[in-house]
Amino acid sequence: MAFVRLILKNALRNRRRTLLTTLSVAVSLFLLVSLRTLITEMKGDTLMTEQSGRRLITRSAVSLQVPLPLAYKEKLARVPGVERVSEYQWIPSWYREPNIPLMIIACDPMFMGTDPQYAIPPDQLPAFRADRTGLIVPEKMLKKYGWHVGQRITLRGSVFPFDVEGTIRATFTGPAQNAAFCWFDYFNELVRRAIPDRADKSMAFVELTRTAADTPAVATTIDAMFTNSIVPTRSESEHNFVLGFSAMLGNVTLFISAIAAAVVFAIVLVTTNTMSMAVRERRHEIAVLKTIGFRPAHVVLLIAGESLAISAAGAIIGIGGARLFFRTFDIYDLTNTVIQQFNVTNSTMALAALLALGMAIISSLIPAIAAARTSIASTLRDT
Amino acid sequence: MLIPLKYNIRNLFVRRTATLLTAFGIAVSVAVFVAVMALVEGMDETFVATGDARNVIALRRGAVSETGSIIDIEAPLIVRNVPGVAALSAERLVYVNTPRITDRGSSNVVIRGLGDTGRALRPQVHLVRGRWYRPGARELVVSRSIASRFRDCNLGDEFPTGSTRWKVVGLFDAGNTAYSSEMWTDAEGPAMAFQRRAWSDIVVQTSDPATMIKRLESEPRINVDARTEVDYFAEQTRASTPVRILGNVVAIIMAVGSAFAAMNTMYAAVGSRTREIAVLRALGFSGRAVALSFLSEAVLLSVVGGVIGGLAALPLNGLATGTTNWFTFAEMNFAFAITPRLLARGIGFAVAMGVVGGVLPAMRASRLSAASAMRAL
Repeated sequence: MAFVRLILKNALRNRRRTLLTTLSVAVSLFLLVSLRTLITEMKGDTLMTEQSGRRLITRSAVSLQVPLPLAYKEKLARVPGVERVSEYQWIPSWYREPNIPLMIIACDPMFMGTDPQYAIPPDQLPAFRADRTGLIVPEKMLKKYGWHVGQRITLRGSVFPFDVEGTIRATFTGPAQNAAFCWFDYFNELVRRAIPDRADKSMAFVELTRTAADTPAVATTIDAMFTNSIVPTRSESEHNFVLGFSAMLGNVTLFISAIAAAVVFAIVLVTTNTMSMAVRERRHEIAVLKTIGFRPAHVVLLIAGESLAISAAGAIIGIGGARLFFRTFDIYDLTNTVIQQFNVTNSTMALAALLALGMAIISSLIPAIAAARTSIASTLRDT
Repeated sequence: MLIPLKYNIRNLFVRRTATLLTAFGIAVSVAVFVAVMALVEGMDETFVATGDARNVIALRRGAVSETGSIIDIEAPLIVRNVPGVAALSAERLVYVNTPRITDRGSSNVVIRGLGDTGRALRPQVHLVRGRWYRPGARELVVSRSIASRFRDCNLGDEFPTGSTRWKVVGLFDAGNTAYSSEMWTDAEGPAMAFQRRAWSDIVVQTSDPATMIKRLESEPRINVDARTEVDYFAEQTRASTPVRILGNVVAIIMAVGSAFAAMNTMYAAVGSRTREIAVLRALGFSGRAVALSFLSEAVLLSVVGGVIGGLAALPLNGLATGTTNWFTFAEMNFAFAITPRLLARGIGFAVAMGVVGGVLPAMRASRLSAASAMRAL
């Protein structure tokens, strides 16, 4: 106990240095936690609901630009294990500000409301299903644009040569909050008027299977069924569909990990510098401690303990601060809906804490060993 | 009178452990900054190098990219009769989900179906192996860098897109331009293979782009936005914005950490040299000269760090990589570009860390009066 108090007293002797080092460790750990969260969020886990395991997305095996004939819907609905099918069509759009993209997804209105984790107020769902030009808008998007239920809005098309004009009939909460939904029938009608060639086709279909266990088999059945049709398909789980977009970014994980490694290295440098400054200043005391019977192992513990204390303080501020920061400030607004979720998970916090511990030990090693090795006589003679 | 810089250099050398540890800390921040910004520079350079000022590109009104534009099948006939059109290429672009060779995962690669004069409008593109495609034959000529990074698209390969199989008959080199992320064929190719009749864009060569843009946009029978190719690709540089933001946020946070560390080192320097400061003051150097001396020492330290950091990042220069351009929703190849300007920015960034870290310790040094500093010993 007395030993611990000695360590803390030592740490507080040069308060300014301890504070600066702690803050330096804290900002670095904040960054580390943020980077790791970026990587975990790119895997899309937090965008999944319990029902995601039962959802499949079927699209052209060749390209998202090659739409599937609407006739596929009937065939998909008859595949054993499939409970419900919906069209799934992106309509890239914008609202008032061309540079801020807004995605609309055209779907089967009966598919909406099937996932309890995407909760829609019970009175609003029938209203959406009753209005052919109705829209369901994510709660967060509604707030971001200052809309209200019942409002008529025009969303300008940035790919299709038409605008989607509709009335907001419902809102939903849930993990994914980046797309509004409209009726596929309404979209199809707009397409028929503007590009008759493209009518009666959907970019993809979503299937809800009966059980999550069935899902992979259903995917295989579907793709086998269409191998020799005009548009061969590729069916994958909702999770893999999301992962596919992360993969398109290229080797981002490697790149971010490299940055994280650099951050770790920087922390080690800073703490090593602090600890070696502390050791240099206390050469005499260390010699005195040894004289009165402290063993080299004690000296090492004393230095390592101080490094640990500083890192622990930095870790609490940096890691805890990151958790608090991303809970307080919504990254959804900060990144214009690009990053929807930014949850600092417990495992990320544990990993960062473990790293902080490891770095504290590594950075105290060289100064501590140097301190343990110096001979009493030569140190005291130096004065 | 100023204290000679040699004094600071020698001091840094005497305390070389602390100097190196601090300089390396700054170097790491600078290296990360330079590396991330080299990605941004590389992407931007690619876009800037692509456009030709004589070419005007017409997209559907409101469309942001060639792949996200749908133009009526009759539009080229109308555009052909617009006065001032020297050459015209109506094109169809389709991106195809293609597996990478190096790792698992896939990306969208653009197949550009060009009109008859399409190739003449892009003199940057040179055939390097094989031959050009024959119209209507489902043949592809692939950029060298795509061929080396994606499956089934090297010379002699059969590139499958659903039921269609394309023969790769040639490889082209497009230098450092956006075309080096593409596969080329004639305009009928995508129409047949992907049942896509509508055009993506119309590229027009003209001697008077400004007038051409006005004429195209005011033509009531077509609904297009026109701009020079240069402007079109300049807009695409917005694709690098997320990387730029990431780079800046990471660099600023790391810089704060490094500045704290530099502050520590400089405070220690002031602390251990109280006696020297007193002597300097006694010799007649002003408080301001002492402060300036310590500040220059901090800056010197950070410049050393900046140079080390820049050098550490330098091997990345020219390294080829690729990512998805979210405007076209397709793969874009580019190389890390570490320009002299970027290196200078990196060192400037280091100097900023040195100044932030050095200013408070320097002020403290200047406040030590000769008498009290001597007495303290």
